[in-house]
Amino acid sequence: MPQPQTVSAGRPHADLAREHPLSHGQQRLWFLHRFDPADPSYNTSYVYRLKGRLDKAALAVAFTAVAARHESLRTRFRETDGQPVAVVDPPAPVAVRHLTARDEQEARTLVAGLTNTAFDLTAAPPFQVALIELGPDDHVLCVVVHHINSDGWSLNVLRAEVAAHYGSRGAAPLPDLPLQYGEHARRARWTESGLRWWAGHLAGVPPLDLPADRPRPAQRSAAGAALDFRIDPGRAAGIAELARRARCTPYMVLLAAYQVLLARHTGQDDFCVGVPSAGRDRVELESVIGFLSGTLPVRCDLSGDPSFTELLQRTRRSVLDALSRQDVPFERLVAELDVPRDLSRTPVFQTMFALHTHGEEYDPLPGVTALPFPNGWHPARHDLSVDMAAEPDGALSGRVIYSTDLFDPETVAGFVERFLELLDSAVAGPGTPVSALRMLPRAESAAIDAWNAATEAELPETTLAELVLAQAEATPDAVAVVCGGDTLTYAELTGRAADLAARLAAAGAGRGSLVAIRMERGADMLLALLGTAMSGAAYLPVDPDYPEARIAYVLRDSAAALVLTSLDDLPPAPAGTVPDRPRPGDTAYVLYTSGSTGRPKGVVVPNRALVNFLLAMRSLVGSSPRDTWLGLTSLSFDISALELYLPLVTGGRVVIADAGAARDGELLARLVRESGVTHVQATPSGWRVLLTGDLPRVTALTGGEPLPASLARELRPRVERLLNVYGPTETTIWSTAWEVPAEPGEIVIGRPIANTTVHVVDACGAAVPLGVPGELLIGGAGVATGYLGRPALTAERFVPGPGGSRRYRTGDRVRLLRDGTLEFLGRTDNQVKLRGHRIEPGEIEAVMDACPGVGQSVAAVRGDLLVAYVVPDAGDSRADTAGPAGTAGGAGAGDAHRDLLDRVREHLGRQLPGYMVPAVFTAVDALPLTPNGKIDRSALPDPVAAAREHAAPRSDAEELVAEVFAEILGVTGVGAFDDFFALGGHSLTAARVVARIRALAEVDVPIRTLFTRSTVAGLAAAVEELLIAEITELSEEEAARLMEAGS
Amino acid sequence: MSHLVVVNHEEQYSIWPADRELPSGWRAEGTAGDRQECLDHIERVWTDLRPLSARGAGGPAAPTNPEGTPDA
Repeated sequence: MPQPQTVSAGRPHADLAREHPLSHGQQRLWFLHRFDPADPSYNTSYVYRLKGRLDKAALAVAFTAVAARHESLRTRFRETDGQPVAVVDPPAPVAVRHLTARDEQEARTLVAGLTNTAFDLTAAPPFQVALIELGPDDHVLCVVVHHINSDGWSLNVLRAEVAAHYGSRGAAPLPDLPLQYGEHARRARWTESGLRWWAGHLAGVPPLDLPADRPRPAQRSAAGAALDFRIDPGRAAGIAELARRARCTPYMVLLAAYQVLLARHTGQDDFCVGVPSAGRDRVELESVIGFLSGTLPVRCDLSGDPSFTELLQRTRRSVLDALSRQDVPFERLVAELDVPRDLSRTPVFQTMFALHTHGEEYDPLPGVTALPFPNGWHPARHDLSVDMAAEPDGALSGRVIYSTDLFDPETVAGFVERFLELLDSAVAGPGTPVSALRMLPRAESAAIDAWNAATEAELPETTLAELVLAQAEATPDAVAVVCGGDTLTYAELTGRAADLAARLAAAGAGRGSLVAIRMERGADMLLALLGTAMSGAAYLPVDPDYPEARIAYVLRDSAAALVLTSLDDLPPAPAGTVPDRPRPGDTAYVLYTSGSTGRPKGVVVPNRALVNFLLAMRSLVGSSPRDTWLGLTSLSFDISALELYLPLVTGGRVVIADAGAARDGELLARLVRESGVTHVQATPSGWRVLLTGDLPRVTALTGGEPLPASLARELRPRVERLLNVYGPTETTIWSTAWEVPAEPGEIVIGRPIANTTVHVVDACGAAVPLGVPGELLIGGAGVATGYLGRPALTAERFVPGPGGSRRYRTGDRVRLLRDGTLEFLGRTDNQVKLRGHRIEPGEIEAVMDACPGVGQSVAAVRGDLLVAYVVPDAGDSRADTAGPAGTAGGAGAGDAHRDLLDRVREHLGRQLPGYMVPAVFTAVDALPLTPNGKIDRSALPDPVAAAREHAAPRSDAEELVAEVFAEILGVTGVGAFDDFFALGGHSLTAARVVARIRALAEVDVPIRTLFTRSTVAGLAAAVEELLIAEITELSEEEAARLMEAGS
Repeated sequence: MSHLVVVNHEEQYSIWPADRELPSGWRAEGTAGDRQECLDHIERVWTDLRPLSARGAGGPAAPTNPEGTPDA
């Protein structure tokens, strides 16, 4: 078949080409194209399957005629010194690309290949027409135009004019075009007052932080996928009716519901949603092909928990306000707002919501039956975009395009289901506060309920004392306690404890009273605990190593009836003294915990809760008479109860480590081996100590602070089993547990233990969806009585649940994953906000820990600065050798630290969004620990601002880069550590820097490199790397040529 | 008036947002006000923190006399 001459084959003569500057929108798309030339996310397309006789020549003629009429379809782009220019080529025949496909599937693949291939905007006008032949009278027509020259409306114009010309062989009597796109681009018409309104309106808007399945990459990509859904005609009619009553449009109802969806997935009441505008508010623009559409950032305000009706009114106002000022280009606005540079997100808004009302009702080609055909295109321009369209049957069809960097398909399906649920509840009760609209589909809440119900187990009505006495009766001569050279059998243990119980009873202690135990670690301490338990009294552990003031406070605040400092404090009891045994509802112990704020408070734990915990752990850990536990933890940390009591209720033994051994890994490991310990529990910090010794393979429990993934990977192969356990004192020691698998990936805290329920709720106390962060509430048998002598605090923290139950508000941020396990995210009060970004220190620490050379790390906020503390890895040899050559030996260690910190900073920069990279890094030898073995964040030293001093460029490459920065930005005295963006650079000047470096050094630095390595030193290093790579390549070519010549 | 003082069958107190449906097993005690007012009221009236079923022998676990001095 004869082919018309193509425009792409031969370059048009330069003197025929006309040039015009780019519009603001085009400049932005040009920049994005330069930033990632392989990104197809700004392709626009339409695709039809055509059945019937097709006149292929007429089709080519029709496209040629339309292209002749519209300069946009003949416009390519050129760059001079980093400045782009639009070049309009003279009219020429449009080449229709002919392809064949055996079946529909192959046609789909071909179409997807066409729509997902990036145009080179400099090579030729980005406009392509392809015809795929499936059979003699069966074709697929695929038209692709880059958004820089087109938009949704343009495609409609293109389709309609091609249709007109197809029938008339290019001679359709179309009215003259009032103006071409280039003329429009020249007249940028917007007012300063409009710009000022937008800048004021959008000032300080935080980014939308949707909960993702994966950590947000440091640089976003266009990798995306699509999910289609439908709102049936009945529901759509309900939406239309609600819109009519509220005097707004169905779009506003949909957008309002979408805002509620976003707010209740992020906990944010302030964010922006991008709303498309056609940008064709003048008659002369109606028939123009070109990039005229815009996106308007509509600022969503859900503050004060408005009713849905009220939110609709706010939405109406903000959409109309935005539409009335759509002349201000978004690109100009972004520059004006001076939003922080963040390659992980799109600026200002991260989601779009559109409803397309103008359908595609006309025939794209007369005489041929045309059916829409999937374009197979789904790059993500944003984190999440929703496009809805009205269907002929009254339904609404929807398509979600989402970033696959962030989301799994199941997660997005969940968003859609909850969106539909919200629409239903809004239509049913528009007066409901938005926080109370039903959002969770029944299936989702049923799954959460079922996980909680699965923990139900039998809970015998008994107490710790009864359980130990029963064990002593069964195995009186078995060894129960080992401490140094001392051992106690079960009979000795309970016999001596009973003696103490009688003495306590004679001294007036019993059910309802509190006995403080202020004793050194050892067998006597355990006897004191059991004796108190058998007397019916509750015990209050007091660590004798604590400061005197703290001990005095605890004794005063608790009003303990007695303070035991040794077993001989009390005189022997008169014969016949029989203590009253405790009941399950009686208090077992009171334990003082320090909150982050306020005075330490005593948590009152009943026997029933302690028994439930011990029996739950017995079935979880599978404790047996052969088990030997290491009693390692300070008595003032409630988890010590597990080490001391679980062996005693299962017939095993406890080996009590004395205070000296507890801080020495070598000593502990020896104790574990020599005394046959099988079970060890420690905090992650404690495990780091233990791992320095030669530890036998034990069953390991870790808890009390988050388990770093790096530690999990190090610890897991060295132990028999590893359980990551979690729980606050207020719900009795541990409430959830996770068996760490052989190859630990994502670290979670697992599922609730027996008779325990977990609930993840938002700020209003409503259940959040799966995958969404919220505060963890814990219910069930472990819930404590409350805080001793603090009714208001108790009422505040222990909140109502169904059936008269109470749930403890942990203050911990977690999320429930799809498999029913919990992921711990941090403390609600530890979570920090910096410049609108929500920051989870744990997320940063996890990435730092993974950096080679880092032993341990902490991220924290000091003032308005994000800071990091790094403990170098003891085994890292680089720390000793990395000092720059030529420095004096004495400076070696400091330089090594500084090099490590530089590596950590660069590592974070590659893995995390810029706002999550700490400003100051401090190397420390060790992290301060609390007496309970947790990292003591409050005792971290003040960060040493290791700011680099100003240094002149140190190499040829640095001099080159510094010169270019100075020239482009018009500044002087640029130093080696100066940052391009800090000096005033932005995305448009970035292109000029790259162009200038290309001109001077003949090396092509990708624009994105300037964004990731924005200091003079960083960019200079990149330039050197590129030059070296080029030289290597060249010499190989030369070598090849030489070899050829020689043969 | 944003919150209610609520109480369950075990005479345990808590607070609840006034515009939300109260979970089963809880009833409004009669006091309403802002959060702090409700908590202040509870601080005054909830003298024995133990659940009703665990009260009985031995007197309250929570000291009613903060002056009570420990003897060693």
